[in-house]
Amino acid sequence: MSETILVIDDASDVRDLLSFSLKDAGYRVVEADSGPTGIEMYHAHQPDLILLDIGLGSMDGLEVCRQLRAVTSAPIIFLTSRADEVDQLVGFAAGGDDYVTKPFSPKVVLARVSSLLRRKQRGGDDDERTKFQVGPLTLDTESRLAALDGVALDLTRTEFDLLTVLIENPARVVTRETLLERVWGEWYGDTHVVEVHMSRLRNKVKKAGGPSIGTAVRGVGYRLGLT
Amino acid sequence: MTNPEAESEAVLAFIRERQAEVLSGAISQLSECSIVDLPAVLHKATGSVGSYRLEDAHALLVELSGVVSDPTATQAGIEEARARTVDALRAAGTGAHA
Repeated sequence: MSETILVIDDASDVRDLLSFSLKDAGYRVVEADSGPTGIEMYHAHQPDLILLDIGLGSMDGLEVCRQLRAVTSAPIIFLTSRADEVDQLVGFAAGGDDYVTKPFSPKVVLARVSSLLRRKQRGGDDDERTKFQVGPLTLDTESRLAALDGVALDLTRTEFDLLTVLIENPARVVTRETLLERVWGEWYGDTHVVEVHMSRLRNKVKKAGGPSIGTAVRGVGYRLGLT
Repeated sequence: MTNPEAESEAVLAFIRERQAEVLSGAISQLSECSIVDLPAVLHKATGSVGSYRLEDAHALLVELSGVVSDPTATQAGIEEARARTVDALRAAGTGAHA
């Protein structure tokens, strides 16, 4: 294992713990204590994955994420400390792939890192069928392009993967467990993460003038919807 | 699927080794910062202390955060709660569970 992880956090204790745990698991680690330094480190090291604290000082994590997203599709995991920060992730559709709340267990962080890196390596070529169309929505898992009435949707990796699972099963309810397994791989955290990303996906499609998708079926999961 | 709570021995040893330093840093920052900076300092300290499994200290910081974020709290009340928390952190030890 030789993937490089960039850790951006202004709390040195947290950086030290993450860095030690990641190195112990065989990753190469580079660190930054601020947003601007993090962006410089990204360009210098081209990491495979980024762990990014939301509550940075001069440039907050959401802004750092936006700037990184302009130049890379590397998975980004947010580190958050408060419930209102999780709300921000939803509201701002910040472009992260996952989040971990502080206090964190290093083992859980490692599991999320490993899962996202596996997804990145796997790419979109697991399935034989690669092109889908349901109503105004089209999806190409080879080029990883999603479009509404022919206009490209700006989706994160996670949102694209969620939409893929739904559109592959347009007439079925997809369980939360299936979504977790297909999109996140092995999962140790709370299943709230599905709601967070589904809500972002739903909002993006709606804002683009599309139909309501990702209809929740209480206690079971989600269906594509298209209502 | 492995148990997410089962940290590697090396990570647990690292956590144990650093606990006293992390707690001491949190106490210093907490006692020295201005009341304006207190919410941000608490925010950071709570994340660090909890991640290093200083559970008793973490509980004390969460309690202080509740006081600080209470819109009805007075400056004097916040200062009093801060002093009480710093004393408790110094007196109660780490409450470490690594």
